[in-house]
This record gives sequence, structure tokens and C-alpha cells, in this order.
Amino acid sequence: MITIRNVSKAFGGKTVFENISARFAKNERIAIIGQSGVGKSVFLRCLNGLERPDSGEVRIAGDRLFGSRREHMRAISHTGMVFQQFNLFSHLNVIDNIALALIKTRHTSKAEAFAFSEILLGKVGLPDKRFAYPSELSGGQQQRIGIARALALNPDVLLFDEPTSALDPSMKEEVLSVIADIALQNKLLIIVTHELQFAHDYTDRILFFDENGVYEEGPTKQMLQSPKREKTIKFLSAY
Amino acid sequence: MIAFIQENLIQNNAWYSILQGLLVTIQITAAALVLGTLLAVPVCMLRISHKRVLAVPAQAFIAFIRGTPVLMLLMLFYYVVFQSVRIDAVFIAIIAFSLNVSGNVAEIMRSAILSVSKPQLDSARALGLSRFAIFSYVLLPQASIVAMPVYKSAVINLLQWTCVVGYISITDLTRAINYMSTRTLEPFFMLFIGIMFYLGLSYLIYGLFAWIEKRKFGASHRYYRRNTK
Ligand SMILES: Nc1ncnc2c1ncn2[C@@H]1O[C@H](COP(=O)(O)OP(=O)(O)OP(=O)(O)O)[C@@H](O)[C@H]1O
Ligand SMILES: [Mg+2]
Repeated sequence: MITIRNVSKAFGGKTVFENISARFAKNERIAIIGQSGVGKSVFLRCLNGLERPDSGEVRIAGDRLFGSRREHMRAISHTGMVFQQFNLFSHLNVIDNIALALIKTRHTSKAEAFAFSEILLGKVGLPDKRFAYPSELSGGQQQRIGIARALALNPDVLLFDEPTSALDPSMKEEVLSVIADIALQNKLLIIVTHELQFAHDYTDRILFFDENGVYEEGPTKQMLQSPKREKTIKFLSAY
Repeated sequence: MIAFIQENLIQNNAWYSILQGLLVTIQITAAALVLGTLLAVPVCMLRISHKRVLAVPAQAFIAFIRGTPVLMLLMLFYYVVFQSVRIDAVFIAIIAFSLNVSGNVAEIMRSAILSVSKPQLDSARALGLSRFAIFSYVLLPQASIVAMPVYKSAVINLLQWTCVVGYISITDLTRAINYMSTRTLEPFFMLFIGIMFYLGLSYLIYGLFAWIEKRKFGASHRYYRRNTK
């Protein structure tokens, strides 16, 4: 589904990672873990074109990011993203947040777009919040709307960047349970997280990042139970 | 009281002069607002451009306009630029005030656009919205929310500053009031009327903006109003 070849990224001469290559299959569930500031977010943002790699290429379902404009937009259209700080459109109410992309990129009729958005609202457990504005919602509720918005275009790939880090424990659970549902839906799911229990329960593979990029990777069970390399062992023993 | 009004406003046709002046004030304000705001759009676009050849001239234009008292601009156009051309002074006033508005409003637009946070735009890009859609449905609405209160003050300022057009022999509301004060020897009464008119116009503008700022963004409001009965 996603093919990454020799991707490197630096900011102002400071390297974030170099020559990362990876493949993620259609219904794999990937967890990305690692210390703060090592480039997990930057890596994730390279997978949907929010960051442009300095070199290398990323293909999604064959379409190359930063290829021709059409190819780029097609590649993006396979993905949906959920952000650490939710990033809901502050000027739009909940239902418009979810329906906007359907109406403006897929040219879905309003009737269909709003009907589907209401279904999604039901799925994330907030059917009666249609007309609320983001500022009127709790963090957990905002994040569930953020997930519904990412699901609106029915993407094959879902990218989560620490979706629960900005939430207190009680809200974490409500959001994680929504993500757990998605993890059972045959989508490629890539989640940057510090929730190792969630990674253990719902992901197939873990990538551990250090300041140079992917330091160690492997099947979830093996990575969590018997990591091989020094930094991974040290990182995991802290949990 | 009635006799007083009769004597000072009606018999000498003062009300007519004042109304004429009021119309001139409204005309200059409205025309300068529309033209100035239209001109502000390209100026702002040049100003936020990453190409220095475009941004620097726009920046210089804005600095010049904002640093120059509007009365100076007015006199510059009246006594220098259009000195040998016979055109209506009102037209000259509209040009000077339009330029003044364009510089101010370009800056208002710029800071409003820059105030839209990057994460909001990231969200829009991640959803695959086109550049046009991001601009129209995310950037512009959010910037307009920030810009409106400042723009409203700019409009009120414009209205009040048009009172200097008397310097280039235009009879606007202020000049008409001044004239009538001397003629009727009732300056207090006349000034009271003048102030009432300016206040009335200001309240009209406030009302208009209150209505604009109440508007909601997004397609859902109209859709659900129409389809849930
Ligand atoms: N837009 C940017 N401009 C300059 N430097 C950046 C930018 N974005 C990220 N960086 C830098 O790149 C490095 C990696 O950042 P990144 O946000 O990917 O870390 P992270 O692993 O996601 O950390 P955290 O767990 O805290 O979210 C950091 O040193 C950061 O300062
Ligand atoms: Mg991060």
C-alpha cells in the first residue's frame, strides 16, 4: 500500500532522518514509538505530503507523492490523518467539519454528505453533537470528531500522530476504543503512540525510532517481549 | 422649540444644505471604502508574496500610505497631481481616501491571514482539499473572523476622517454644519445636529457589522433549516 524508498529529511541543515525505506501492506497495523523529538511526526507527515522529503520517494497505492499535481492529490486521497492537537476547523461546527472534504473534494451532494457524516458521528459515539463548535467540546470529544473527519473520505490509510497524548486518562479510553474499532477494519493503520498496551493489543508491527531514523523494527509481540538492540531495550524497560 | 427649529432649519433651507453635505460624506466614505478595499486585495497579495521583487514595493506602498496623514494625500492630489486638470474635487477626495484605505486594509488583511494557524491548514491539506478550497473554505473564513473588528474600526475612522475634505473646498456634512453655524449664529444647535448625523452613521455601520459577524460558516445551517420541518 505504501512504499517508502530512501527518504531523508532535514530542517535547516539539521538531519531528522536519513534513507528510511519501508513497506506497509494493505491491512497492516503499525505502531511507531521512540523518544520525543526523534522525528516520528515528521516521518508520519512525509506519508501524506504535509512534509516534503529532501530526497527519496513515497508511493501510496502506486501514486507518488510530489509527483505530478494529479498524482500527488490522488496519493493524498488514499490517506486520512488524526492530529495530536485535534486541529478541528474552528470556524465550522461538527457536522461541517466532517462533511467539508466530501462536499468540496468528492463533490458529494449535501444530502449524502451530511447523512454519511451523521453515521460517522454515531460511530464515534457523538450523535447529538452535530451543531456544536469545537470550542464547546472536551478534548476527547474533539478527538473523536477528528477521527470521524479523517474517516469521511473512507481512506485506505489512516495516520494517527499521538492521538491521545493531549488527553487526560479518562478521555484516552474513549478515544482508544474508537481507534480500536478502526484497527479491526482492514485498513492500513499507522499510529505514533506512547500507549504500549494499545500497541500490544491492536498492532502487528512496531518501528522504534531514534535520532537517525528507524533503529529497530519487528512484529509487535517480539518487539515488546524481546527487543534486540540496546536503545530499544532501555526505552521499553522504562514502561 | 418648534418655532426655533422652524426658524433655524426650515425657513433658511438649512436642512437642505445639511442633507446635501450628508450625502457628500456618505458618497466619499462609501466609494473610498469599496475602491480602497478592492485595491487592498492585490496590495495584500503582493505584500505576502515570498518573492522580494513583489513584496518590497508593496511594503513600501503600505508604509508610505500609513505614514502619510490623509489630509496631506488629499492636498497632494488637489494642489499637485490634478492641479491642471479640471475634475470634481469629490472625485479627488475619493481617490485620496481610497489609497488611504487600501494601505490600511491591506495590512489588516495581511495580519489576519498570518493569524490563521498552520495546524488548521495542515488539516485541510491532509484532507486533500485543493489550494482554492483551502483558501476559500478555511483560510478566508478564519481570517475574516480576525479581520472584521479591525476592519470595522477602519470604516468608522474613514467616516470621521472624511471631515477634512472641506480643505479642498468640498461641502461635506462638517462643512455644511460649519457654514450654517455662522449663518444662523446657533453653533451649538448646528453642531448638535452634525454630531447626531455622524453618530447615526456610525451606528448604522456597527449594525451592519453586527449582522455580518453573526453569519455562520459552513453549509450545514442552511441545509438543516431547509430539511428539518
Ligand atoms: N517545521 C519544522 N521546522 C524545523 N524543525 C522542525 C520542524 N518540524 C520538526 N522539526 C524538528 O525535527 C525534529 C523531529 O521532530 P518531530 O516533531 O518529528 O519529533 P517527534 O518524534 O514527533 O517528537 P514528539 O514525541 O515530541 O512528538 C525535532 O528536532 C524538531 O525540532
Ligand atoms: Mg510528534
